Amino acid sequence: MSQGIETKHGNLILDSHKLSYHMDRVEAWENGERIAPVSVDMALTRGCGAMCSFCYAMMQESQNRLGIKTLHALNLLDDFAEIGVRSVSLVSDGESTLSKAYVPFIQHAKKLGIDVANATNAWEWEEEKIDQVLPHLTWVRFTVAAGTPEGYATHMYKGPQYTEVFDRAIKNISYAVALKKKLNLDVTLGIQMVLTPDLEDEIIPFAKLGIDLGVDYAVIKHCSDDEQRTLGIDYSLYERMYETMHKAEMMSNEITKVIVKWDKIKDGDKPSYHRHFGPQFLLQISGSGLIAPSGQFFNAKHSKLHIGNYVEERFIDIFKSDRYWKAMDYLASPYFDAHTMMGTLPIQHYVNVALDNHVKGIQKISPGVDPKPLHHNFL
Amino acid sequence: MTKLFKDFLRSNALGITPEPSKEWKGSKNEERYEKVKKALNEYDYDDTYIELVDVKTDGQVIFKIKKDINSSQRGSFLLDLEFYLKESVGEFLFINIEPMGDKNSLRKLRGIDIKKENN
Repeated sequence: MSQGIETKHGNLILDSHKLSYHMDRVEAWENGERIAPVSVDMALTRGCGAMCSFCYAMMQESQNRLGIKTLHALNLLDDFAEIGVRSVSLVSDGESTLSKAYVPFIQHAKKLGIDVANATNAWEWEEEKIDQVLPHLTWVRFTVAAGTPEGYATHMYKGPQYTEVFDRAIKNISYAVALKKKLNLDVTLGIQMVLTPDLEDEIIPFAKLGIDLGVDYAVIKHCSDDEQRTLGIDYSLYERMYETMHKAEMMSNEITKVIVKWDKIKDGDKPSYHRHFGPQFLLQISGSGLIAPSGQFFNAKHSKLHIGNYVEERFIDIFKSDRYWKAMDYLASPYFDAHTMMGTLPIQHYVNVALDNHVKGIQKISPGVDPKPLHHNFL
Repeated sequence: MTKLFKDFLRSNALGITPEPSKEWKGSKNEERYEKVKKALNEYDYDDTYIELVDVKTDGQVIFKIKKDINSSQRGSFLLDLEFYLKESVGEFLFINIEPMGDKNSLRKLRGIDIKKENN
């Protein structure tokens, strides 16, 4: 796996895992202990004002969407702190900036000593909100589907004529870049393109946009699909775009690194593992409040892996229940085959590869060395 | 103990997921459905919540949710049922529920329908 990219702020690992910096959890897991996740990826709502063509959330509807109030979200963080969760990313299956809990959640996480981060389209992420959250965030990743306004509006909204959404996003991202500089904040700012085979022409404009914005990185990643291939992603078509992606990487400069998630793109729909060990270390929670081990199981289809909803009961009680471990144990058993029973390239992919190689003795996870990489608490 | 658990993890990682027999793969839809239905009739559960819809050649047993099961009970109930079916009919059986489509009205404009069948 990739060793990361050296930036002026430190080593940035986007195309690998950071389990080496959490050996206490790895060892406890190997000893058969019930470990707390190092990271939780979640959303504060299932709602979103965008309509991205590549959005996995289209396949993540569960039976109910329970309204997450601020109190639920803050209680959740208290429970995370009690069991030892080290980071929370607001990504998952909804646009968390739309939630009333968004600002208090981020401020409370930081107060509890939990690293917190956010992925957003930045459409409703305006100056007042940015001022309140940016000093507390470890990283913010903006979804930018394409480098041209028309391409962006086509893939993230209703059509090429709706470029006002692009303008709004760029205005807000630019404000955050300027604020980071002004206050000398540690936060890492990046833009992300979810590459589908029809977007090849947007790769170079995307890299150029990242450089023009002055963000820390512009990353190009794969597109996940569910096990039925609902989005119709043909992973064999990525190879023809390798040369263009290499050209984009060459555009990196001192400020902005253009990064391609080569490992995920090359693994495509043929992972090296069959078991899904990763959720024990990196748990996902839906913007509906539903707790399932991985976002790939939020849909009602995978109800057997639904564990509970933190709007209805405290997370700590769910975490300590036998049903939590029944679901985790199932995914780690031969009854579960990651090749046929789940979608492609889950958020836990790198962690899965590393844990699978570790237990098979192919490549042992060894303790990380100092200095720690950026965002080491985000697996 | 530690060594034992490490061996257990390794054997899980290397384990082969049970596959349906040739006989199962070659059987008729009605035969597979009836085998599972018969086993369900002998299982102690509340059938007002779920209904058997289909039993596939790949081992999928598909149910429809008739009445919502609380999220705190949903998973355990269905995993227990799956283990019962593995024991009573075939180890290769696994449960899925009919998928739900996206409720987001804007995203629905994309016209993406969740496929019910694996490719």
